[in-house]
Amino acid sequence: MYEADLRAMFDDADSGVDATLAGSPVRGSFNNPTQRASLGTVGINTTDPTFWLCTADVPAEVDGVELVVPGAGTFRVRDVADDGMGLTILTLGKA
Amino acid sequence: MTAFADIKAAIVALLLQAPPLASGNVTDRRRAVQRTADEAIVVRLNRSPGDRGSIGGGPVDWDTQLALDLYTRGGDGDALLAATFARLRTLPELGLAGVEDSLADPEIEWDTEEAGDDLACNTIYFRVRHRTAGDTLTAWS
Repeated sequence: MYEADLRAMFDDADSGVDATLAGSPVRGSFNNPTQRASLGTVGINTTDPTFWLCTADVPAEVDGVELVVPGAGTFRVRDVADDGMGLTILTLGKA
Repeated sequence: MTAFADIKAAIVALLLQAPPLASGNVTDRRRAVQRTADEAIVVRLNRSPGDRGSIGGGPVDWDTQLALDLYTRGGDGDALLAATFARLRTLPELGLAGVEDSLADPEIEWDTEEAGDDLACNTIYFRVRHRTAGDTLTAWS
């Protein structure tokens, strides 16, 4: 029941998107805000793409695999954070 | 304009000479590199110990340290580093009066970060040895 509630979070078209993780379809929430990397003295603007999904949908070996988000591009998973409550945040980088 | 501002402006002009480095994104302004730029160079004056010598009112010798922050998006910045260092070597006295050596004590610092883009910022530090006139900050002529 709890997992069903979590999945319902991504049902809305505004918050959820169908994507492909390591070749398998998944649904989750994609965000790609601008952030400033603190390199050098002035910094450089970049992006900080993340994908939230149900932990049950995350494959055992996810670090470094590809995530394809239609309309946004292809990314590589560079960090994985399980929130312990059924959701996982994938931090993404360039594929 | 002080000799220090002259030197900074000369460095910016040198890096912008055709073909301009970093696609012409060379500046002495202190603002973040925008997402539209894949390369950028920020020129800054760091510090400058001076030596007034023993003659009152005489010339002052300076060791002015500059830093060039070389930003690269999508790579390690090695090509921009090599091109920038080569460009600095093309004009030993910067075309300025009072400059004896414009690339003394070079030092390089590397830094990288992985975010939505692979980012690098390689910084070249170097000293410009120059002289100002009669207890002023105006270039020796």
